[in-house]
Amino acid sequence: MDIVKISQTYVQKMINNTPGMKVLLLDDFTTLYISAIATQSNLLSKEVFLIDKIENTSRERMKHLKCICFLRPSAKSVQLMIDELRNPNYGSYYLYFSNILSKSQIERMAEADQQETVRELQEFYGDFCAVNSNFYSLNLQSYQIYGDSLNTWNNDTFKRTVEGLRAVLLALKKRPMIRYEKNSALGKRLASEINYQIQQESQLFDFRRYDTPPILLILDRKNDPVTPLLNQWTYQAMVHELIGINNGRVDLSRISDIKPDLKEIVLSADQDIFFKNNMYLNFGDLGVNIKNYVNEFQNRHHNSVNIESINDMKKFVEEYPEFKKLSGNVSKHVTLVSELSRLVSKDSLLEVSELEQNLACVNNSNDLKEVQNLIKRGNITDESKIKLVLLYTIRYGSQNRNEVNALKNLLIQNGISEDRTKIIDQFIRYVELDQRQNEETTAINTIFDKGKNVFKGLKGVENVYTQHTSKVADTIQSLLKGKLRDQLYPYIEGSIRDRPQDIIIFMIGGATYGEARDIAQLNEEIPNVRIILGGTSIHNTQSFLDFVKNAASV
Amino acid sequence: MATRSRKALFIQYRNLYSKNTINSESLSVQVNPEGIESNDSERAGLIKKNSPFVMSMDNIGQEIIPLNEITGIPSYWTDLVDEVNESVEYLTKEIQNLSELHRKHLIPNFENKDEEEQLINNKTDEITQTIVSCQRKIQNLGVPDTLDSQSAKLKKNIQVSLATKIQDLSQLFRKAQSSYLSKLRNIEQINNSLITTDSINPQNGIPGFDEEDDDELLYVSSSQLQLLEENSTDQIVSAREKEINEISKSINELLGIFRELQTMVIDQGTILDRIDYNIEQVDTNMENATVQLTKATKYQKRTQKSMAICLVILAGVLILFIIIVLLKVMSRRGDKDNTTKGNS
Repeated sequence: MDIVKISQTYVQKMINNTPGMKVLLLDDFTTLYISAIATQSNLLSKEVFLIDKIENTSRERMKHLKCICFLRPSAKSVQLMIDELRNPNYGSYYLYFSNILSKSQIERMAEADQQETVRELQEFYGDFCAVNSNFYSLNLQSYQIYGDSLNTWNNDTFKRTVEGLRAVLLALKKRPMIRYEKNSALGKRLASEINYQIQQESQLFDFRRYDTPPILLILDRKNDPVTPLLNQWTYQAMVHELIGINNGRVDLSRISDIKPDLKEIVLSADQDIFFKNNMYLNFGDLGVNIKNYVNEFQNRHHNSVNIESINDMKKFVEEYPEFKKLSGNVSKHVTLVSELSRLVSKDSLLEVSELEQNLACVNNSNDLKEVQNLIKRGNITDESKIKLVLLYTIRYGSQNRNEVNALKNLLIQNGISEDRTKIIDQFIRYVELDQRQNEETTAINTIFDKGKNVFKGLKGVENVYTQHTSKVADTIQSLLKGKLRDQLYPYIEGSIRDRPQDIIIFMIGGATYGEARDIAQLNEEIPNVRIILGGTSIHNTQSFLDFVKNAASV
Repeated sequence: MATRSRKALFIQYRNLYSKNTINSESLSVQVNPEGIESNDSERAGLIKKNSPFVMSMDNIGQEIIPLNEITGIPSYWTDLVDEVNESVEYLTKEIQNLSELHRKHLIPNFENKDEEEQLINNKTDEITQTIVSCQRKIQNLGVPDTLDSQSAKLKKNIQVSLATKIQDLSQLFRKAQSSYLSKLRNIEQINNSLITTDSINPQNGIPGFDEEDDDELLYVSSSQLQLLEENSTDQIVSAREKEINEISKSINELLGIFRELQTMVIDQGTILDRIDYNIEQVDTNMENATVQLTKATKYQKRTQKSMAICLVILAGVLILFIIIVLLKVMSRRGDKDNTTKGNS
């Protein structure tokens, strides 16, 4: 169940099926999908000599090329395909669609193919971004999720989500039992629609049955609004939090006097072994490793500088491509890590993070005082201050006596505009804090798990900055122990008692890299269990707050 | 990794539609004023019939591309790609063979090594020559500097792809060569050290000989033995020296190729190797092109305007000049008149 490998196999299959010189046509979605898992040189070596968007109308006629099209079966892409077939630019066409085609779409394309240039038509269900080996995203960050209220879906987004999640299941070849969170109307709607789709396409979902069926667990971001608010301290999550990862690309152009070839860099576990080994490590361990990495480079560099004999020279040239690759990679990671550490010290993120973790994990009598202190300080960003108030709100906001309003005023006094503090009320609305107050007896409604905190307190904390584990990790652990209650996480159909082996998680409202890291760790620690996490998008604090703002506008 | 083929359904629909069009054609034939069905229309009907044989015939027919449809890229590109691909296949095989020969050659035995050496040398030369010729071909493709058109981009990509392939192979070859070289050197060193120890303590015997053989050796005096050994090692050393020089030469030759190809291949792991980035670059190139074009038209318009202004000014000057000339002529005529009047 390595979702990156699966996507890569899809791409390889469509390219290997077609020998000879070829062109690859993509649409906006598939460009993102394919960029995350394959590279230009990768495709060039398979004689894909031209890669272009199907919507590019200035493409030249090249009849001697074969054309592979990898498209999402959206109305727009199918229409572009029809136009292309009416007036074909290339000798023959091999069509691959990333999701289920309707019969009318096939009919319309067939009608347009009067010159009979189409040689192949297949559905390859790679309709998602494979981010890490156990992390996918539907890339819906620019979509409004909610319809008329916080309990209804936006129709377009809903359709898109169902299609995406269905493709994930098909790509993984799983016909799962579906569970959802009882308090999430969106989760229930999605669960029943996916169930319906599986039944509709029962032929397609006719996979080998296992003794214990896989589980699809549909979660709602509103039940864990804490995780995306916290400062992250593992490499991949940290980069996304502080700089931002856009489908594997990181924009470093804001660093002053940066070398031109480092203005934009690529972080891919698939192509970069250093990143693969360090993406889940915390900042301290990362620092040690990067130092070793630099030392290794220096040793090699030293060897290459000391070219005394012809033998040395030969050796150097032989290793030169690797050396060049290494030097590029070393400077990439050194630049990135030093920028991260600059931001950490500039914005006093260690202090902020410590308080964040305390707010997220334990009740503490002087929390309020510390939040107030940090709000008054100058070298802390406005975003951090707002974040702290939000965390305070989640922890204490449902209590009768709380200081949320006082803190809001304090924010305004410290130069944060009233407009920006509106996010606090929007946030309260999004997480439905008032409802949680009444039903605090049911465990699902409390955002913080109380039993766990006590236990943690006894165990002692290894690292204050990473005390908090995401709720999804806790949920999976209780699911594996058979302790996830059916009343709170009902099945859409049937139920099983056995411990599941394959779990697919879908987070409505977006997952985070921190959660992906927790899941990766669970995969490693627990034998015979394979877990894959995904969501409508991948959040950092900034994008999450934008999402909340957007949600509150309905 | 589920997949589903919709080809059958597609072809079913396609045939349905092409039949429809044939029906309408035959209808139009029926209302032909002559009332006679021509042979051509009958044949057309047969060809379009849905039999697998005709289908495949159709496919074959379509693979033949009319010459006038090939635009932007000459067919020698296609040939070249095939050629280089063939060479790549050949090289991969030969490099493997060569390493096998190397391995064999390094196993110490008492067979005559000259033939093997000759074979290795020939093979090394062959491989080097093939790599060089591939590299020449790739370099002389004549890729345009600007990538504003699709065919230019295509050419560039073909070049990059072929260069990468040859680069990988030349690296493989060089690795094979230098590991062979270092092993040769090692043997040489071992031999040398053996020789020195032997010459100092000849009574210790030559390693590899049994105790029993020592009795036979006693018949040979130690100084004689030494002489014999030195002669043979001299020969071996010079042969090895030659061999090593030979290999060094080939490595150096490859070095140049390597440097030149390196400028062409993509740095893997960088943003330049991203698919979306490359597509964006094409877009921005296009945008730049359109911006340049609009600028150009603007300039043109502006020059047209200024040309018009120039013309107007020129015309003005010309008119002024004519008027002045006219006036002068008039006044002169007037003068003349006056003088004639005065004269008369």
